Amino acid sequence: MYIKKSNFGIWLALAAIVGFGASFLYNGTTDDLTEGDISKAIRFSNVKEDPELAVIEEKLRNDEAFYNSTKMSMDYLKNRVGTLETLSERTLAICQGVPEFESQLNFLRSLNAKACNTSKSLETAASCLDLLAEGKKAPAYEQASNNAYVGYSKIRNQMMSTKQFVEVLNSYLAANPSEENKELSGLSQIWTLYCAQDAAMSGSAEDIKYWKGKVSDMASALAAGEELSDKQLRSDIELGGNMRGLEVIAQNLAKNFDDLAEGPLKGVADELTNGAVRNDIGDLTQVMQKAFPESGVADNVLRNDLGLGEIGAKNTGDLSDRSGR
Amino acid sequence: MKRKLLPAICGLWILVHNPFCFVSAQTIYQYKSDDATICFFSQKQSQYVPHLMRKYQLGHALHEQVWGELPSQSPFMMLTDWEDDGNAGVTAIPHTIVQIGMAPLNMHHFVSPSNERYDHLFKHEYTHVVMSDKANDTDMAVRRFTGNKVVPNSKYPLSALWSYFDAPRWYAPRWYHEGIACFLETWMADGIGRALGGYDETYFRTNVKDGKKLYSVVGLETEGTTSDFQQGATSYLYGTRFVNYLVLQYGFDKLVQFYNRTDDSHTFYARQFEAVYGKPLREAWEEWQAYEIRHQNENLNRIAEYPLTETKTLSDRNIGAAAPLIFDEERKVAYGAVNYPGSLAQIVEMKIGDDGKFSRIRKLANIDGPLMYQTSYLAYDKKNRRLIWTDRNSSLRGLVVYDLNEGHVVKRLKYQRMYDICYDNVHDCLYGLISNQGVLHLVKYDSELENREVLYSFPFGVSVGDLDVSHDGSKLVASLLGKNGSHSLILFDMSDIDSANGLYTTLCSLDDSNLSQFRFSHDDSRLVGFSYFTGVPNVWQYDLQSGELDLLSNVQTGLFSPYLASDGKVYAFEFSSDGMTPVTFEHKILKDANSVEFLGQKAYEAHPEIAELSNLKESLPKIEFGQVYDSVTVYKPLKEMKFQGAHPDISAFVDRKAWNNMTPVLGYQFAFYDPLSLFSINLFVGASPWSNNAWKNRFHASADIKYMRWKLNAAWNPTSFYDLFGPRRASRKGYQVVLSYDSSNRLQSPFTTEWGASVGHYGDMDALPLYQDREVDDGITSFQTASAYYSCGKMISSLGAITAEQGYKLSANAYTYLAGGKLFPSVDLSADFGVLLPIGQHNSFWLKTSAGQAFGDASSSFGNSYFGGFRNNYVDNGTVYRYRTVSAMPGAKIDQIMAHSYAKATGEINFCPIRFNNFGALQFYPNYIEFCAFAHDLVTDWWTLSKSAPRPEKNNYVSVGAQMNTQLVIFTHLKTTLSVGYARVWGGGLNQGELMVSLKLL
Repeated sequence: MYIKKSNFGIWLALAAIVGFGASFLYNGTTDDLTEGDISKAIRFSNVKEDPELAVIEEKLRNDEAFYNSTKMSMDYLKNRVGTLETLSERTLAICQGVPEFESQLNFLRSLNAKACNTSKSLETAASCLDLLAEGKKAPAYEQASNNAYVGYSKIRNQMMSTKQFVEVLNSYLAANPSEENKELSGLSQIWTLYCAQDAAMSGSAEDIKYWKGKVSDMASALAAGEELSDKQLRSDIELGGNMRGLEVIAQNLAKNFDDLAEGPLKGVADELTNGAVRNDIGDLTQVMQKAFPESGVADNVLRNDLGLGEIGAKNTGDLSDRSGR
Repeated sequence: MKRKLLPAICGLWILVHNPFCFVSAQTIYQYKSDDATICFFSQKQSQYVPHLMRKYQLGHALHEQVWGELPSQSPFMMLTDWEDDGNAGVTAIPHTIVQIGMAPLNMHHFVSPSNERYDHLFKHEYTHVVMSDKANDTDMAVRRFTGNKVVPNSKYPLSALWSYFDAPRWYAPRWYHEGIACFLETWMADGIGRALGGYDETYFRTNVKDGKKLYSVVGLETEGTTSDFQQGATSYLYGTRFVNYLVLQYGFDKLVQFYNRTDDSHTFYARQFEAVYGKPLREAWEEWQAYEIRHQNENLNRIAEYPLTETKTLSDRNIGAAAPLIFDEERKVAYGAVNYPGSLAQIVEMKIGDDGKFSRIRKLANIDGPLMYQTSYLAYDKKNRRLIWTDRNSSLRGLVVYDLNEGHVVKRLKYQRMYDICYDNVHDCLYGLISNQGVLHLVKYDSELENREVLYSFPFGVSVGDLDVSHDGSKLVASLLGKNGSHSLILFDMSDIDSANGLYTTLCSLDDSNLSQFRFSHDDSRLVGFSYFTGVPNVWQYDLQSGELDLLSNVQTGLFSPYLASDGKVYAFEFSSDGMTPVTFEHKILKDANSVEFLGQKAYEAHPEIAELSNLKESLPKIEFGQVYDSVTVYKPLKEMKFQGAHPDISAFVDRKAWNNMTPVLGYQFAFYDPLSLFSINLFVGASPWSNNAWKNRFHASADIKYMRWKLNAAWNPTSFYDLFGPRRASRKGYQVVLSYDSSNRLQSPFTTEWGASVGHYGDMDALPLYQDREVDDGITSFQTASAYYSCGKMISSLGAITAEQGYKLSANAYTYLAGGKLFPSVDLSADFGVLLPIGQHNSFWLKTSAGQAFGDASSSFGNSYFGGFRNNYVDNGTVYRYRTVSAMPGAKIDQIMAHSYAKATGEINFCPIRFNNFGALQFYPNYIEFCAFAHDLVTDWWTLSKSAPRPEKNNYVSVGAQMNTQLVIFTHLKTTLSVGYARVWGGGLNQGELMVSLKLL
């Protein structure tokens, strides 16, 4: 439609009036997520940014012992997961394409993926810990550490299937004792040592019994690492000189293998897996094993014993704001 | 001497410093400051205490701006993790205790606010603290006189009077307290709360549409909070609504005048209302009702401006509160967890007929410990034909597995704490969420539910719900609630979860509305749930491919728990005034729908100053983490024990020469205990110099010392208030020292066990401790007793019940006297069974049986049991159902029938109570009338196992009677019951009747 220039202003004014009037007929606002005339209910809202809720960060800044034990726990986990990541990666590289290992590849890939992802989470958490040590904020810490502990827990669960893999590996090596398989043979010893360490730390008498017959000696495993010329792997196997708990484990592993289940290692393992691991996850992962929420039950036993929920309310009732009852 | 003193001193030191070591391994921790004390039960929770203290500080400061002076007594707070559903509570008497649960709030139907829960809880709960505890000069004068706020104690009913004058507003009705708390929780949180809640609007809009009358201000308490499927939640709904209306019509300042306990305010809340608003409360309530109907009709008309979604009802009956239905489309069946008034909460199977409607609803099993809105969390293992649901939902949840092939429950797991469970039928595993110490975790069970694994852990303070797994098992969806009230749909890829890649995808978010109950469609291409986006809970779908969010319904009431099935239809619950109705409607994307107006929004637009309630006028001093965290100490009950008050009291004592066998006693009560009441001492001293008794029987004293499960009672001429009225008497001449231990286990409620034992020494007695009209044998005034008991049972009731309606209880008691150098042991066994009758609602039948044998000399008063009477006093504090006790035999006089051995059976029918609606005054109204009819058959000395005496003659007694109980409510909390009964007894030479009239106090 052609509009005369002289009438353009009138049309514009008319359009503005109609538009203004129509705006009164329109009820409410439309959210970006919807199309058409779906009006959103008008409710006062003064939504602000998420309020800061950084309990764990504050605890780390204020509780030196907790910070140190968390740091130690992180270092320990980094060491263990890092070892596994390298170990599984190298094993996978050799085993791919070998028909005898076909059935084990999914296991190795899955374990490797878990180790890689957990390593990433640990890296993030460790960086956050450094930031916290400098007095800076690190909002990513809590989720990263949660992911790391959950990841480590998943790895531990999957390690139960390692027996089968190592048996396949050893059977293969026995059937193919060639020089070409020297690297694989070294990896086998490292797998065995890694699993023995895991068993030692879990305190499982059954696993310790199983693995103690498999570890020939520490020296040969270390030598295997040396021969592989993999510094990372070697240092991982040496368990890191700055980690008190792991040193003890390494020493005791050689000396007191028979007493792992109830001996001094048990205490060290407990310290590492319980004390330093963050409360909720650490608590929960242990609780999970027993399927029994100890803390909650303890609370409830107390409430039950004392009738705490009924304090002052026995005759008067209380203003209990239960959300879903 | 030194050798003897040292262990005693050591023992005393241990008792003072760690008395728990003898009875419990539990240590209680506390953080104590001038502002508040917070106690908790795990040292790990220390890290959360600084956050809680900051939230308390904020709540306190915001309230100070509104109310001016706040209660001077700093509250005692308990942080608990003993319930799996979010909960908090306040009690004001004897001192203010605030309980804060750590579990996230239940978000079913999006009833509760969704901001950070401790932020919300402290704003809401501190309102209760102010309303209950703020005292004016008059209240303070009474408190100074009584030493503290007196706890109403049915043993000493005068205490109720003192208690009322100590804290009169504590005795206002629930709607009064919750109305202001929900209003302030909203406006102190920038508009996040129930005063602007979509569910509240939906509830009233639906009531108006259904033509259901709105409860009167009295009817709300008598009928609304008991007959409605939402029970006590109606107080929140009505209270919030009425407060919104008051602000809209009269402004916020008047509301503050009404609620604030100032020196010029009236003691009784309704008089204060009239003084502020210039009209009686009832009149204003009726005005609100009329306004509400107009408001909702306008909203109904607005919705109807666009075509309404036609829904087809699937069931002939409303199913009350219900969990989302789970459909097995191949088998044409749906499963659900339902709960409606008059029926026990249950798991049901619904067959889908050829016409698409539910042809049959079949009960599969009862649910112990149902939830209010969704009854239970339910999952379906299609391959193995199993249903899995949560029970004990209000405490620590368990899991129950029901085998549909076998037709019964095959597994029960205690304390699993799971919620939002769903079954992955591809990988044969169960997913769910768990809250432990306030932190949420996504977990997985194997198919046998033997092992579980944490898959993902959320940061502290984050709330997540509405978990669902896709049909191909590759994805999980959930609703995540931001700390600022936002809602997001999040999606977990299970391959990421398996590889420990802690990531999820946020599909879409709404800042100030919800995205709830989204479930995968039958083909996993869409997610279908509900949102209050328009103010109405309508069904929405999220397309996983296009990422678009589309509206699927436009209804006037509301639709919840939708599921998009393969037949192209959406199945959902349509909200009605009586609960949920299963419906279906055609899947169609809508482009047009109107929103509704919120009453709370109208109040804001009329009085925008209420938005300022969230703004602090002055910044608060920062509570440093270490300042709190490093100051946590162990809570020691004995150390914390203090004098808690004293008040004059009246009681009664036996006086056989008086016309009514009693004399009044005047005395004084003293109380000492710690804030948690773990250790308490109650003392009474009194005198009755005007009595006909010997001088040594005119002075009275008693001490009750309670520590955990132990109790020591020592008394000289013990008295009882209720002896003033007779015919039963509990006072006895002489002295007594009784040490008892009583234990119970309610962790698996409704299944409970109780056991205990006691030893006692009695001296200078003239009657048996248990039988008032049986004098002791000549010359034997001092004797010892020992007793032990055990009972277990499971008593359950339906919504709206006033007493247990189904279940069983088994008990065993052993009792012995050591008198005159002889033992007089006796044993009693009883078994009770009840069933809810399938006729009408709340009608139940009970069969109670018992048998007992005494082994001592039958010719001695110590060697027998005694029966007779209703056993209610004219004014009483015990149960109104005294005729149910073993020693009752209505019609006969108290203790008239003697037996060396006995067997007794009682049949009893309890009829549906009649509830009053708008009857009575605001401060005094009847609640309900109930009617019971019973018949007892008692056979005495049918057999004997005792050889110490000649066998007494066998007798058979039959008693038939009925009783009517009317509950009367005084000042909301103080419930009394007027009982009238008549019974007649025949047999053993008896043919007599008994009329019983009794008023049970408190």
